[in-house]
Amino acid sequence: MVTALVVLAAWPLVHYGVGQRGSFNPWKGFGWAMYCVPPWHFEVKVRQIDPPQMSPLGQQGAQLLQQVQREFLKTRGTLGPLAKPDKVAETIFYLGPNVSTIDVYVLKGHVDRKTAMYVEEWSYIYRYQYPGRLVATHRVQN
Amino acid sequence: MLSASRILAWAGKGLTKAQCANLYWFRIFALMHAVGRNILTIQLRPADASEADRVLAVMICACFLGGLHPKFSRWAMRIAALLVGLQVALSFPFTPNHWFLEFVCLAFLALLDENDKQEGELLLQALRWFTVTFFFYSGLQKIFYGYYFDGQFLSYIMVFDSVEDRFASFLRFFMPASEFERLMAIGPDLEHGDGPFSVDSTLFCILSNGVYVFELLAPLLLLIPKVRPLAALLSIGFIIAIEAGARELVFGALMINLLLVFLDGAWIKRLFPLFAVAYAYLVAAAILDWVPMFEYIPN
Repeated sequence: MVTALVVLAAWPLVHYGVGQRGSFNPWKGFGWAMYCVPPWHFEVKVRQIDPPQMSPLGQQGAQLLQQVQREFLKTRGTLGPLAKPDKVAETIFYLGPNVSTIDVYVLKGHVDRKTAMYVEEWSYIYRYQYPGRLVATHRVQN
Repeated sequence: MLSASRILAWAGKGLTKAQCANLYWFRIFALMHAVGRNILTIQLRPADASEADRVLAVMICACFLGGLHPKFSRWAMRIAALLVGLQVALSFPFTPNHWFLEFVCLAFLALLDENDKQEGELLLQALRWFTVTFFFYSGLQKIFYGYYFDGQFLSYIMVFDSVEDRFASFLRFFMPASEFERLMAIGPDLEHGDGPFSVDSTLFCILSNGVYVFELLAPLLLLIPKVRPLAALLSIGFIIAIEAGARELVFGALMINLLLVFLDGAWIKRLFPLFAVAYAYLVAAAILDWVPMFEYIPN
């Protein structure tokens, strides 16, 4: 019982440290940091590199892609950059087998602590090759 | 040299009959809370409730009913703690912190028997120390992340929540009308460059900084026997104020009962009917559309 209480007492400090390095959502992870940070907002965008023209998806394909994107954004909203859009890429390649290279852009919206302004930035760009291999990750520094 | 038992004793020594009754009724409350939380999640946040959650919810209901009989109370608690632990594990990493809070309480109640002198004292100390810990860290994390110094978080929550108009209707009284209108004009659909999410009002800044100051001080005062009852009552008042602004009941009920553990009288037992009515109302409101509902925010 004492060990459990010590772990419960120490974990929030670990949570803060790990959160700062990994940038995962402070609202999760049992660190008692809910209501400390304005919630983040994420969006994802795909740009076809090869071939450059976006292939039409059809209604079913578009719905499938939307669902996969929603699941990715939910995970990204919790785990931050630890969550990669691998499934988004796999779905794109599944729906368009002639597509060989894509870039997946992830946008993060947050309130800047110093300026108190809402900032949106395309923070990460992931390049994938068919059938879903991550070949490069570019962190955009603004 | 400080020993573990001496540090534990800062949260109270011994166990009176009234405190023992308190712990028994907290056991019943915790089971009721687990049932209520499950039903509200399934009804109001179906996306957060998996098929497994629905099955586990039925089992937790059975534990609550079994737990009402003193003969089965401990076994019901053990099973409920395992089931809620499973819910926490299955929902990870998206688990709301409030579910984890509930799980820890159930786990303590499952492991320790309030009718045993030593275990009962340890249970009381463990519940009190756990409350002190997460209450204190709520304040400390606000300092670490720094969004309360200039009221950034409270400003944001006013704008972001302006659709439901919960916090805005209360916080508007702490700033000039022009600042309130400026914030509300930002709107809930945010774009790059919106803001600033801070308020030019000394009163608002005092309130914002006062939140974490209270969350840091109150837990420490809860450890001082002479001021413990006053600290518990002030903390209960603090929680009621937040819940009134948020129009939420579920977390508030759990937190208030945890704070009632700090009082020497059998207050959890005395107030249990009130909380039972509140949970019955919330469950009815969640199931029947024609009954007005409070917010349910499992964070």
